[in-house]
Amino acid sequence: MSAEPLALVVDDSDDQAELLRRYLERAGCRVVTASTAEQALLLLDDIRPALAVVDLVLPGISGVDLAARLRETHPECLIVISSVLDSSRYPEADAVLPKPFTGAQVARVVQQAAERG
Amino acid sequence: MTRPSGGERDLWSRWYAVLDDPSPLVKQAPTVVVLAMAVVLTLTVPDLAFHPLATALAGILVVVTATALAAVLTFQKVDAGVAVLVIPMADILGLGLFRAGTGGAGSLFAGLILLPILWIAAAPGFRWVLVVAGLTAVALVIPFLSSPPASSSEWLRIIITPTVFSIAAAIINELSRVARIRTEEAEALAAERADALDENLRVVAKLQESEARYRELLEMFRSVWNATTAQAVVGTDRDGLVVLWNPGAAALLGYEDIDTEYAIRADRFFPRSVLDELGQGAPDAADDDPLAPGMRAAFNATDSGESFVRELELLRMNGTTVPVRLTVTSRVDGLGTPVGYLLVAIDETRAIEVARMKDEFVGMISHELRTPLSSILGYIELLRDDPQHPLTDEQLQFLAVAERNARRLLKLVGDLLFTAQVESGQFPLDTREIDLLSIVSASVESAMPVADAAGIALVGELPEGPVMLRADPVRIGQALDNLVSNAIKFTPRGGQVTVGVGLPAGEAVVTVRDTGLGIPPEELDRLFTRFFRASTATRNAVPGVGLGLNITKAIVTAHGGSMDVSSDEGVGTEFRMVLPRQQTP
Repeated sequence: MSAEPLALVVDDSDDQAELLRRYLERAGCRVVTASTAEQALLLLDDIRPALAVVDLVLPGISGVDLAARLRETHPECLIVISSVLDSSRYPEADAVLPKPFTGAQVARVVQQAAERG
Repeated sequence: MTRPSGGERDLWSRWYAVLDDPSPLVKQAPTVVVLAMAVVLTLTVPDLAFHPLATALAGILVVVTATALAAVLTFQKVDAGVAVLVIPMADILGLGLFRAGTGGAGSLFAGLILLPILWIAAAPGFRWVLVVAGLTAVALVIPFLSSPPASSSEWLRIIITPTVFSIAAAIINELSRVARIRTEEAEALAAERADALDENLRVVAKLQESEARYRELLEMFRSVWNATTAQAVVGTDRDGLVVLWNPGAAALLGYEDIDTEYAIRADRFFPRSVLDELGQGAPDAADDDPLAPGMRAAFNATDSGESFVRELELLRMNGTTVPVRLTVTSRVDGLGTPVGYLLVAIDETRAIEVARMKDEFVGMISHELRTPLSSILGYIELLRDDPQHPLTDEQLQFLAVAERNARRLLKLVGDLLFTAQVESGQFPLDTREIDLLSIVSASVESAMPVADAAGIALVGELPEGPVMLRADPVRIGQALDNLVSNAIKFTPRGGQVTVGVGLPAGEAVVTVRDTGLGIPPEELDRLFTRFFRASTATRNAVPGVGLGLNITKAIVTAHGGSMDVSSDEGVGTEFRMVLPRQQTP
């Protein structure tokens, strides 16, 4: 495993995905982005990310289902839910980034993943 | 008194009246007729003659005068009293003179005098018998004024004839008295009967009138009953047997054209689960009760005076369910005795659909608004905190303005979403054991910079030690932030905002007191209404949309607490947030 942890970002909004990529890179991660759960699942066949930031409202397979599948296939991955929805509607996760989040919050989540790794 | 009358009856009663209640002229008629016949006989029969003529003429004159008086009295409608009786009295004297003028004691016409005697004798009162006696005596004595009685038999005639006439008068007087009494009694009876008949007619008329009114009411009720198709109305007896139902019930429950009277029980319209839920906590019903316990519990609640209004599901005939708002009330008969129940159900399918669409809409809108706002805020931060490209102070200042406004929009979206959730009764509370004081002091602390900038002293007056209670820390913090930021907004520079915590038994009371503009008393009760803004707020151009207090109250209410406010315009306002608290032993 390289020094820089790998982060997967799944968000159908390009702006949000790009924002997360920037924050995560500033926090010292390599970042892979996907705009749908289906695309993310394809990527996940080849990569083992240290953390995955998943948006809940996605076209096709929802963020909730994706998070549940990730928990099975990649138990070592820190699952982070990021959404504009009310936090009461979040599924069980390792960390949350309610939108709008700040760079500091993203950095804390990366820290959490590093400690776990 | 009015009696039914026809032309024929009129004619009869007119004749009857003439004889029943004869006028003086009618009573005088027999005397006049008989006298006229006597005159004619005297003139035509050779054996008879007027002697002396003057006396006979005087007698006729007296009778004619009396007849004239009778005519006058008749004309004046006087048909009783002494004045009338003067007529027969004059007749007696006149006929006495006539007798004297047609042969005196031997006259053929002595009997004529009986007619006026009968008249007088029939008058009420015994004194008239004496009058008859006196007058008869005088009348019969007249012939003897010129030639005094020659024999003892003539003397006896002077005495006996008036005596016989007087006795006859007395008998007639008595008979007519008895007859009069009988007549009066009969008349009284007849009047009574007539009154009773009239009363009966009035009662019948009244009955017809009230029957018409009843029919009208019945028709009105029937048309209203048949017109209520949007509500299902089912009437039952005390054991829940259906006794009537309206077209709305048939449509809602799907029992078309079925004779339901006393055939099915109302509990059939409820799914098992609903009946179980209704029956929960109710005392066990009697074993022989044919009604489901849940239904009986609902009826019992109605009997005890509670209003029974529930949102629940009813079972259709085809097995599907329909969401309704159900009201159960007691049904009484004409005497006010409870005889059963009325179940009124309103189909809520559409309302629920609308509420769901509204929820979806609000959720979609808030998602669509928050997503771009999140990007704006995120990219502003990226720009500001880029270590490789530091910004100038002025650029940082501009970005701060952009960020502040984006955050304001974000809060507004959050508030709108929250009130929508409150309205649909489904905002989530994450309650746990928390220290109220830490939330209050955090709220005061976070408002401090704003208070400083506004030149307002923000003071926290907090008791010692933790105040533990079960609450959602985020929501309570949100409610408190609203109160504190309101207080700061509505207080002019140089004023003071005091946040305190009081601990009466079983409660924790957070007070937020300001020395601000105050609220007019007539607006206090509308203060917690959504989008309501106090006139002091609009007049002084204090920013806001009128959601804060509505949200605060909803949060406090959801915690089982209450909000309270008192205010003096121009002096200040105090809001009290009362939260329930378990007593520490």
